[in-house]
Amino acid sequence: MIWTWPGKKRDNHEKPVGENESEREDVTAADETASKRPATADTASARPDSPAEQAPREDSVAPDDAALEVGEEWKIDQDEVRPLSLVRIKEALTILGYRSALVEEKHAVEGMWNQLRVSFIYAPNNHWLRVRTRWNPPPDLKLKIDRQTEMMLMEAANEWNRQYLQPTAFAVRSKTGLAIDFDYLYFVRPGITTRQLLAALDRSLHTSLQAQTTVGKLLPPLF
Amino acid sequence: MDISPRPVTKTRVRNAIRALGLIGFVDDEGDVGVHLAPYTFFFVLPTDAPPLCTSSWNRHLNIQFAEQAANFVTRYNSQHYSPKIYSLVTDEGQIRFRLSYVFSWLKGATDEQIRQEVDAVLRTGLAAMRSLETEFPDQWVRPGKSLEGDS
Repeated sequence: MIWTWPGKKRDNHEKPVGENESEREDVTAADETASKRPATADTASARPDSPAEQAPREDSVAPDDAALEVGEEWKIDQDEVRPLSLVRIKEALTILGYRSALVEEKHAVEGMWNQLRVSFIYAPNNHWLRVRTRWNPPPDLKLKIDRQTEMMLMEAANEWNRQYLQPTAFAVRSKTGLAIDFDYLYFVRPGITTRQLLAALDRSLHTSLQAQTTVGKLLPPLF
Repeated sequence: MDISPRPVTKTRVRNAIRALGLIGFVDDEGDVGVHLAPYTFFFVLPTDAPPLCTSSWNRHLNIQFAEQAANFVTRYNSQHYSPKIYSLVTDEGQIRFRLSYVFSWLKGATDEQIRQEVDAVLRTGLAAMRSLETEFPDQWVRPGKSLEGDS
């Protein structure tokens, strides 16, 4: 067995904070007793409460039920393991009742939920489906690109990662200022069934949207 | 070998570990583990949360290196799919690193899906450990290096 696995994000164009240009080439539970389990409960059950042009579905219809209803109509085998594709992602979002757009040049399907852009990124032959969202700090602070602000965002992202299972957070320096990106990752190399895909998309949406309302609370009071 | 997903159990995870040519064990808390010296990876399958794999780096940093630790964690998480890395400060004022990966088995998985994902998380987990070793080398194992002022 060869123990190598690159596992790198190849299309991450944003620059993570806290590194100089020269470093860019170098790619390479609160207490100690909680060594294996996360400090807090999973966040999947939380639901965003703000009105939106497109909000996550209510719990009254479970993804499974929706999948079976539509799958029956569309003659989809819910449990057949098949390779993932952007078309399948878009179809699954439609089954869940969401509008989305396929953006081939970005290898992504995108949509707006609660005024938040959500990108479902999957490049052909990649092993991972990535659901990316971005949290932007309040406008007055967004313009501050200093070391102190960077450190605060890095610490908030680290605290999120410590307290919550998913998605993974990290601070970035974007064209418009400092921000925190969230990546919900899903391993799809062996293929994925429609039922699994529906559950993954539904879950990633809810956890990513909940991150938007939660991460700000992890910043120091000055934010 | 099944072709349809079914619930993932500790036995199935252990079978996947065995299929990779590795030896798993069950710890006192009932979690499945794999020891890949000097690191140990645990597979936790709680009933009320998604299954996950966790591990801890076997060394720690002095608190004076907090900024370097934050930089490393940020850079790693932005450039790698798996695993997620985070740092924490212990009561003794030491920085420790933890690795975490959440499996996609909420709707069950086939044997092949389990085997491939366990394989992926162990490989990427070891790669993450190697990155930590490279970023924060143990001064005592570096020949010809002075401990003082060589951070």
